[in-house]
Amino acid sequence: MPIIIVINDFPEVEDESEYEQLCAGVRLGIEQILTFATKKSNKLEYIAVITGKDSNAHVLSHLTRDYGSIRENLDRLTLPEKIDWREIISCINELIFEEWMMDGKTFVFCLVGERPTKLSKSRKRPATPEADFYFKFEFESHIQIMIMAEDGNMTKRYYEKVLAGNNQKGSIECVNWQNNDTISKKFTSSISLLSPPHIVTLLCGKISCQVQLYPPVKPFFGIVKHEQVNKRIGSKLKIYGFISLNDLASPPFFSKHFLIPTGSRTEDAPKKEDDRGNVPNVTVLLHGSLKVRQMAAVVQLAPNWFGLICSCSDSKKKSNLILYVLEAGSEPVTWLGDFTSMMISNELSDNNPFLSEKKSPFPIKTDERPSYNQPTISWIKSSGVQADIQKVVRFAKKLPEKENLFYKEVNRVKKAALSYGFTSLILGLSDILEREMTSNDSLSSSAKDHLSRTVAALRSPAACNVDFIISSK
Amino acid sequence: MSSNLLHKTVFILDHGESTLQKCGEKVDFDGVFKHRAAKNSNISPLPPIEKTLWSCNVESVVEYCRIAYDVLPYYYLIRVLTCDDTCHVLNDWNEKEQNTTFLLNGLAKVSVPRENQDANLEEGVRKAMELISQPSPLQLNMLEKGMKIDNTGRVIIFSSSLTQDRIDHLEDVMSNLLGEKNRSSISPSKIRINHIDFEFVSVRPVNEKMGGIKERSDVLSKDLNRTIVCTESGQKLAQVVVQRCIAHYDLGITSVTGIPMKEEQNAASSTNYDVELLHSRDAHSKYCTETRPSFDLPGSEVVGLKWVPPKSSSQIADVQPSRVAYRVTPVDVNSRPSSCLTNFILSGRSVLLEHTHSKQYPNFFLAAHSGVIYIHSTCKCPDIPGISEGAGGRLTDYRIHDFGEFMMGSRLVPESEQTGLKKSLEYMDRCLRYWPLTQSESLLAHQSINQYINPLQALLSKANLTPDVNANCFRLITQLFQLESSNELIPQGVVAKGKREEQIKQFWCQFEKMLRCYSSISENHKSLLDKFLSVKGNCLQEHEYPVFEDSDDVDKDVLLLFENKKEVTLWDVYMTQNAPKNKRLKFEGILDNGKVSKLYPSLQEKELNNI
Repeated sequence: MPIIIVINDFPEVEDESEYEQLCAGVRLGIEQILTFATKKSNKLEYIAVITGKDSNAHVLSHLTRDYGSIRENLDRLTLPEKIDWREIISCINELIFEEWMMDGKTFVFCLVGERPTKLSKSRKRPATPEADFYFKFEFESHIQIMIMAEDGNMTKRYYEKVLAGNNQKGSIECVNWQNNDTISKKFTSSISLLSPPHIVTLLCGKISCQVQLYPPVKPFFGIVKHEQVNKRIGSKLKIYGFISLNDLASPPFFSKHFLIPTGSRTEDAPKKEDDRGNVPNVTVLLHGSLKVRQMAAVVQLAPNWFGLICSCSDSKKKSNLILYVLEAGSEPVTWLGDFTSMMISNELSDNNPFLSEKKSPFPIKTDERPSYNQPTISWIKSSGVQADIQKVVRFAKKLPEKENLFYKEVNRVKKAALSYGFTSLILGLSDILEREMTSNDSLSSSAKDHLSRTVAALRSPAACNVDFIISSK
Repeated sequence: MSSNLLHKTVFILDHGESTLQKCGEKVDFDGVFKHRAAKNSNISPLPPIEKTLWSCNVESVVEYCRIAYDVLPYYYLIRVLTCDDTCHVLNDWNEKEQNTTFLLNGLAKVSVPRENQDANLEEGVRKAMELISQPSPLQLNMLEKGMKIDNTGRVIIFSSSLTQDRIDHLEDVMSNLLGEKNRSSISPSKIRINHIDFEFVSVRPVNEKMGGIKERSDVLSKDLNRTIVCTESGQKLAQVVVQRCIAHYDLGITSVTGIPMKEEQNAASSTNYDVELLHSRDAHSKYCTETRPSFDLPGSEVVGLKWVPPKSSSQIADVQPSRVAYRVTPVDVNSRPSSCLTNFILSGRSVLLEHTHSKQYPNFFLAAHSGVIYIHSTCKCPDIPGISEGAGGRLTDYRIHDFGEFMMGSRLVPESEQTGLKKSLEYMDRCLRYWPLTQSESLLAHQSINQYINPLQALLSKANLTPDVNANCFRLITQLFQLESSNELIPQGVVAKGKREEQIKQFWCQFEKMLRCYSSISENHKSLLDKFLSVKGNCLQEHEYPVFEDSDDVDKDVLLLFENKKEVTLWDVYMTQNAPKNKRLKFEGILDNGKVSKLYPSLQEKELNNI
């Protein structure tokens, strides 16, 4: 899960060496977080640092996995005084909102100073309003507050109130910043609250390997087709076939995750960390073949829950496998049909129409025809009525050649007029056709015949009968 | 899609005499005259005609249905009933009757209201409640599975003869019915109603003053909400009703801006048009907060997204999955710009849509699948950890081509049987048993030997080896023996440690390993291994035999436990995983025919003998 480190609310320290020591303490604390992410999380954690600049929230490091750059930025760290927490919270919301960070829980790490019990009179700006804000984010979060103070009990009480807005998901620690051992210990134990890496087994037939899913896959709690569905991902992801990306056609997903091999196969685990790169791993083969063939692997995550594994590249030409978790249920993508009844093409009987590779079986054909994909009559606006009447007249002028189309349109208008209870339009149509018949000299006698019969039919009482079809006979 | 949308809606259309009034809005239907007036002066325009209130009500309800059917998946259902002195139900809950064509056919048969006939709306409300208590196909399915159903619905009355007293009365009727329906016995053809949204649309002719009815929305009880809407008829009514549809189904509007269109087929220049599309608000409510007033639907807000001219390749380059995909429908379905856009997309092209003001948020695109147009959001993957830096990433001789070939043969296609998934998993299990990942990992993976190994593996992957196939397999194995005797078994240029004999031994070891991997599929597979061993003898040591992890999902039961129970304790998990499936061992000597055997049959005899 992404980690956001916030540094705020440090009281003014006049003694320079004391200030330097406090800064060093903060850096040491953050270093514990970076070390933990490197060792325990395969360097997969995205980490950002937010602090203050000229009394405004300032992003010192954007979410990144390049921990070196974070360390560099920290060298320029100054401890901010009072930055409005609400500004910081909206700043965090924005960071997390970019891209896929919302697919997991976020760990918010706040490093704060001791709050003065009495406000000194010399302060020009009023302090942050007392507890009239809450830590409340637009995503799931765990909030860890580290108070860098010898005795932070007063300050602790203040943040306890503030934490209430996050349904108490988080905790508060006081850290004596003058003792490096305490800093290391307290930060290390706090960061270990981070969700452990989500490790599952990827099965491709009998070939298997351990993979880490990042961010961890959240359970699915939702309503699918009016049913409440609760799902948890299993410990085994089973690939049961492949689909070309063109056939998939950008299906909607529930969440997306990196799928990274851990490199530890029980039988032949290499001794040295560095050798991991030289032990064949099925994910690398899968990645290469999926990329070359422009395909995705279809996986079962749990009974009746499915996902897709694709290769994906970023703008820096780095590429890896991504697991797209689909909505729970057997039909998460309407145009792909039922995932439980998909079958491997090699196993089909010989007469199956999809056996040849050229004919794509997707998207699944449906009888459904939306209004924009069929002739639809809409007479809410006058222009709609005019267009349909004009069409009839256009064919009338080309009688007798366009005889079929003419009668088809006449009957279509007549039927719609009956459906909408707009019977005066049937007479209106007859008036227009009559005028056409009498005023248009270029019409042939046969055309005039057709028109006079149609006019008579439209004016007859039978015209109000749905089953009465006007024709040339 | 928000989860609290109502499954069922029933429209009650007042089909009484009062709806025969003219709506007060003229329809100038004579477009032909305007067109020709300049050229031909001896014709005169036909006088405009007027719709009745009935016509306008029908148009609006059909428009509501058109939007709902277009943008929502099939499990949001609508039924329409007309109401004069009797009720006439136009359609059923089943999928076949849930479309506007079916409704329009029904309406054509109902025809215009007759004079001297009042609408018995009370009967209409009774009928509507009866319809809602009938389970839909989806609910029947849930009932069969023994699931709890939340049966909620909306009843919307269109009438021009409403007064406050009548509304109050119908409210009472409704609330009594809710109690009654739910007290009376529940049967498979009649289910409990949990909640009703009751709406009145009081329609009056254009320019007529509002009656004594107040527009309002109240919660009347825990299972009944009531809304009253008063509006003029004509075009205004259609707008109001579409806005109700937007509120009911939580829809939003995207305005696709700046679509270049030519005025005539071969025109040199083009004019830019905007097209407004309706869809679930979830498609971009998170990203798009800046809105402006709608052009097609006064009173609504739209999010503007800029049309990006499609490149010559006319495809969205990246066919990755997308974060959202929602159905769309044009606000004005028959306008020329709308149909140009929808026809363009239906022809198989995707259209990229860009934010006009922010680069940070994802872009969107429109694409059609099976004749239905969806709005998708694009999705980027920033800062990916490179695969070459991870486990196995430094090797470069993966059998990417061979695995690609395997994938092509393992494409998934739709099947009618539900067993597809199971059979496909079994297929994968059979095929991918011995499959060296890299060229150098195994002598068997070498290209020059592939012509023998690949067909053999394909045959071995079959669930049943018929005598024919078995013979074929052995023929391929024999060919390998022959290659060995002609000294061609180990391909030229193979870099392997040790002497030639060592390599050959290595080859047969790997070959035996492969046969052993497949031998557990069936007896015939096993016999093939035995045949091989009878010729070659054992190459592998026993500890080198391949062992497969049992791939059966041990946690399947635990996962199901989580689905069925709200609170799962560690004890539950333990019991599910470890509880003995059969508590007692079966008695081995049990009789097949179900009869109870007599214990110690000879005991009595012996005892008797001993006396």
